[in-house]
Amino acid sequence: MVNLSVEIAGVKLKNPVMPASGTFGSGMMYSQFIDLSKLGAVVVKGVSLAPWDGNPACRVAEATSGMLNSIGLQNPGAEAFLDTDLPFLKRFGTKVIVNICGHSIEEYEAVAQRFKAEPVDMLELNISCPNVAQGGIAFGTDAKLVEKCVSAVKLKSRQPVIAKLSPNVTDITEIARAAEAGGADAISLVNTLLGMKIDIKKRAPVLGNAYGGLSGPAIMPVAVRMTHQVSRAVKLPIIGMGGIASAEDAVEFMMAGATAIAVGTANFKNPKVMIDIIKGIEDFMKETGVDDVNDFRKMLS
Amino acid sequence: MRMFSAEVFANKPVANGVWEMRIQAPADVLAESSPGQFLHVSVGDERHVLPRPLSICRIDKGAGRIRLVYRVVGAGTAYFAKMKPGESLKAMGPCGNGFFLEVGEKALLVGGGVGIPPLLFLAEKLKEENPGAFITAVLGYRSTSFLKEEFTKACDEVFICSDDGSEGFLGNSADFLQFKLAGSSRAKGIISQETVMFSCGPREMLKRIAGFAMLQQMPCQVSVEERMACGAGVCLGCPVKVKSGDGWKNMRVCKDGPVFQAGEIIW
Repeated sequence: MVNLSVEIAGVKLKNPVMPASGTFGSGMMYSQFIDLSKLGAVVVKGVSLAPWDGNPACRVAEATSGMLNSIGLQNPGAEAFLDTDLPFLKRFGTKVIVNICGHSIEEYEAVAQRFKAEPVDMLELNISCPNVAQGGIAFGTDAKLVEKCVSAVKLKSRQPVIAKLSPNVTDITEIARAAEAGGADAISLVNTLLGMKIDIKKRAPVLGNAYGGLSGPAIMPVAVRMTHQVSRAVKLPIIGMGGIASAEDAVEFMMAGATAIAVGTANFKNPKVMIDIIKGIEDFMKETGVDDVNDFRKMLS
Repeated sequence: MRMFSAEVFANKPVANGVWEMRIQAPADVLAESSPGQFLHVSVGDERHVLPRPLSICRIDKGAGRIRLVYRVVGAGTAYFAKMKPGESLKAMGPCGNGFFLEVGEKALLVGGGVGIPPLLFLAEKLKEENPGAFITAVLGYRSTSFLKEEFTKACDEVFICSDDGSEGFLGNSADFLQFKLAGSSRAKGIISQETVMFSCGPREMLKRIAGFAMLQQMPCQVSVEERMACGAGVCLGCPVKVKSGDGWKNMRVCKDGPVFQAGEIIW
């Protein structure tokens, strides 16, 4: 028997695999294809206090081995999430991580406060969405604001707080240290890389919002590098993500220093991919004589 | 809706840049499929991370096949066009909500480009529901027509339009409705509040069809297109603005649509 379970900020996950926020909704739609109770956790799509409309169409475009999105965190707000999505998720007995977003520190605080008494296991602070005008990446690329935002949210929350970092910075370790100084319990990285696609026949940007976040296998080496850098710069556990589509990809992130990993874009092509990845990690461990999944992050030469 | 593998039975061009693929699909997928729904078909290489939504043109329950008619617009659809009989593809479906089968005495189907194929499935279903229904189809092509013979069989009357004048009326199907059909005496019976309109095609065309339907006070359903990622209502990548109270809200083309009442969309 190999051990697949990991622990992040005192929360025990049965395995290190979870969806990346925004690629899995709240799990309801994909629950017809996969058993949510098999996942290490479910990370839900960003939740703000009030409903957000998101960005204009076109919101998605494919790139080579990746995709651009500019959804703009459309969501029905915290109350709708608590009324319908959370009760549904709780039926599966899986850990629930709520990604929270806001336009200002006060809004982040208010969402954290709203979830204080609710049965969710962790909060993921979305200070890295590249598709909203205020909040999001505007906070995540400024070390002082990261520290301020994290510490403000920590004061209002009961659950451990994961700071989700943007790769669109000069020095990711500076931002990670700021999150640690602010009191973050864990770090997740990376959010999407800001990109653009142009329709040369229409002579116009493809996305309605012109710029969008690049995700998928195309960004994986960047994400692995940043995971490695951050794991050496802070003591916090890391949830690594960025282009993971197979068990081998997941192991790569863990060897780079991630305690757990998240799967994003790959869910769109194969909603069952996380189940394959969990099985694949276990198989790889057996084949290579690794008893504990936590050993991966200590074995890089 | 389910995920499945399907074997390609046939795959051939039917007009310039337009291909027709027949796939061998599971019985429950066939049974569940209705006109206006689509399959979200994966491109079989790793460079392409997003499946492509292809509307269902026809189902053949006897042979267990689904026919997809698609235009080669980019690398993903070019990949589909290279697939050979016997090869396998992965798909999810049937996705979305199809046309609501309002079966009256008269139906007017208006299609443009690769918006035409799902209307064939619809025409056959409408006839199945009410064999006495009078079905008129207005089909707009860029140039060479496709599926014409089958529409002629399935409908009572078919009008062909082409953007380059190579066949039928010169102009698109919205032009034909506005400038030709609405003015012709024999069309008086078709352009009436008792006729239900069903339309599928490019957004600009649908917008004009919706305007026409509003002017003529005809009920009208439209199947809209949008770029999609998940195809399952998860990612919110394919929004369409619809009226809601005094304002509007975003709905999902893939899950809430692709068919909407023309009057509820904010164009």
